[in-house]
Amino acid sequence: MTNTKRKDPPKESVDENDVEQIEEEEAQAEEEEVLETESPMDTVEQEDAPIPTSAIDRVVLPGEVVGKWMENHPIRIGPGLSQINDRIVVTKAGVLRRPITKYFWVECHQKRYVPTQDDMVIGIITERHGDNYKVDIGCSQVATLSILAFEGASRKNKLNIKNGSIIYCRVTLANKDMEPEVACVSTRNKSEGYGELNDGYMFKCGIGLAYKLLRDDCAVLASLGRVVPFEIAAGMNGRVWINSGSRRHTVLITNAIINSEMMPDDQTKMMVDKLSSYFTS
Amino acid sequence: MSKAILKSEGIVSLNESKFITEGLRENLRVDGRRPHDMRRLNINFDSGVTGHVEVQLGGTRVLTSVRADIVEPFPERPTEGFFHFNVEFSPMADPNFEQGKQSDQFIELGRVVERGLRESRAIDSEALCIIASEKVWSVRCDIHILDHVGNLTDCASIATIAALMHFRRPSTTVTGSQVTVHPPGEKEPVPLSIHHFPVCITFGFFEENGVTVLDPHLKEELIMDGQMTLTLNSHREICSIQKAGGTAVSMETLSQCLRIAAVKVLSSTYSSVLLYQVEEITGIIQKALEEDAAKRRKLRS
Repeated sequence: MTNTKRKDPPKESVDENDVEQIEEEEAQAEEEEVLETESPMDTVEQEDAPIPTSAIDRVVLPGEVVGKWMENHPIRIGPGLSQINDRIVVTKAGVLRRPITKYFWVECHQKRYVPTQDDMVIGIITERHGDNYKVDIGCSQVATLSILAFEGASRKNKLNIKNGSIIYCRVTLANKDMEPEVACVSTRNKSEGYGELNDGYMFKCGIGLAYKLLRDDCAVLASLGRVVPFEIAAGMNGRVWINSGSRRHTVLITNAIINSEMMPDDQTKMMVDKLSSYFTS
Repeated sequence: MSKAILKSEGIVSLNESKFITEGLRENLRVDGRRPHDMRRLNINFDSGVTGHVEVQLGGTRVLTSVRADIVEPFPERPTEGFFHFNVEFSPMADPNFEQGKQSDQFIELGRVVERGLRESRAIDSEALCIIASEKVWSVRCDIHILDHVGNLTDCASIATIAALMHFRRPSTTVTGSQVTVHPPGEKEPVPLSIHHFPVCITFGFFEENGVTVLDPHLKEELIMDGQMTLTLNSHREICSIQKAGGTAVSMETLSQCLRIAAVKVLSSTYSSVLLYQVEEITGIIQKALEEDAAKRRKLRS
């Protein structure tokens, strides 16, 4: 539990790690692409892009065709988008987002979590078996967590986690017909912040808010970070864990985050400013 | 010692359980309330039909719709109409609700709401008679749970009484053995006869630190050791008390609640948490009803 924690002002956080990781992968992919096709990705004309810029940050509805699949311009599509033949079709009502180049998803208000591979989620250990734990990650089935899916864990040297503990983990297997699997290690087999979360408080929120918290330009976390130090871990399954110096602060932070869901950024800043006197007293 | 709850009704982790119980020791609840505070109550009426009410108690949302049909009464009770209460829920409200499975929780919820109204004689089934042993009104009250974030009982009871108060049944004329049901445009529909307004107030008990909380939210509900639902009306009368299982509530706690209630009835002050809440709720219901009636008058003129 080192770099999951965001001691504000934020230096290293979960989302940034992941974004960096994806960017790295993408950079590699780009290099390979350049070598193969010799067409630099950065100079793509908007008309030729799989999803045009005009569609981004716009309200989209299920069934809408937002783009087309192009073999020489690979993109990644996230929740709310699906590929049907060569078309990219919206499956959820919401706002189309592109946080980083070539990565698209639909941001919407949804409470139910559907696991997707590589999602960072917060789970609760519900059962312990010889070789694995059962973890509730808020989806229709319980996920499996192998006892070996921790950094440095072996059959002889394994972690003992109590029932009811909260863990920050990564979805390693997500298939609609199978139980999901989670792991407390990154793709590089390092813990990188995954693992048990001690103390603090966890609350549930809409998936949309969880995604908002994971964005770099999250107004509520930035403004809260200016007034009070705290740790946060946001799971893509709509669970957020908060820890701070005092219980009263944790309650205030929790409610500030929940209330910020439907607020524009300037109002969020005003709300946090109003709260700041409570943090100091 | 805090405990994790891993039941089918919901899961509460060790961290949350510890945070909630230790916070209560400092009179701190996770939504910023004090132990005897209620969440914000919001009542919305459908502008088109009567007896269609959506109540929000914090995040908990309940929609109640009332409708009336003419039926034949039971032969042994020829002058009594019917009141039916039915609790409907969907997995949309809480993923732990199972479609088609009527759990004990919902049966108890419906019963508590019904008992508070029926046994305190707030609703009058004899007033529903049109022609004895031939035609009576049957009033059906559907309680739909839309969002479950704790304390469904109080929310449902408020929604039900508000819907019954809002509901207007068609006006009828009896000529001989002939019954004419007038459509709303022809003759003003009539309200149901409701004598007083019982409202449920739920308390949660935490055995370990001896804290009593009002209007518990979902996580408190899951970890608390016992609960008690008191039904009171605006005349400060106790209509029913429901205490099913859970931790034993000492005579002291119970009589303290009752004594507070009795004292408050005599001194007719509203400072008692419980009575104040009932007063407040009835006030909110009545205010919402008046606003809705004014809106309707405006529309008609």
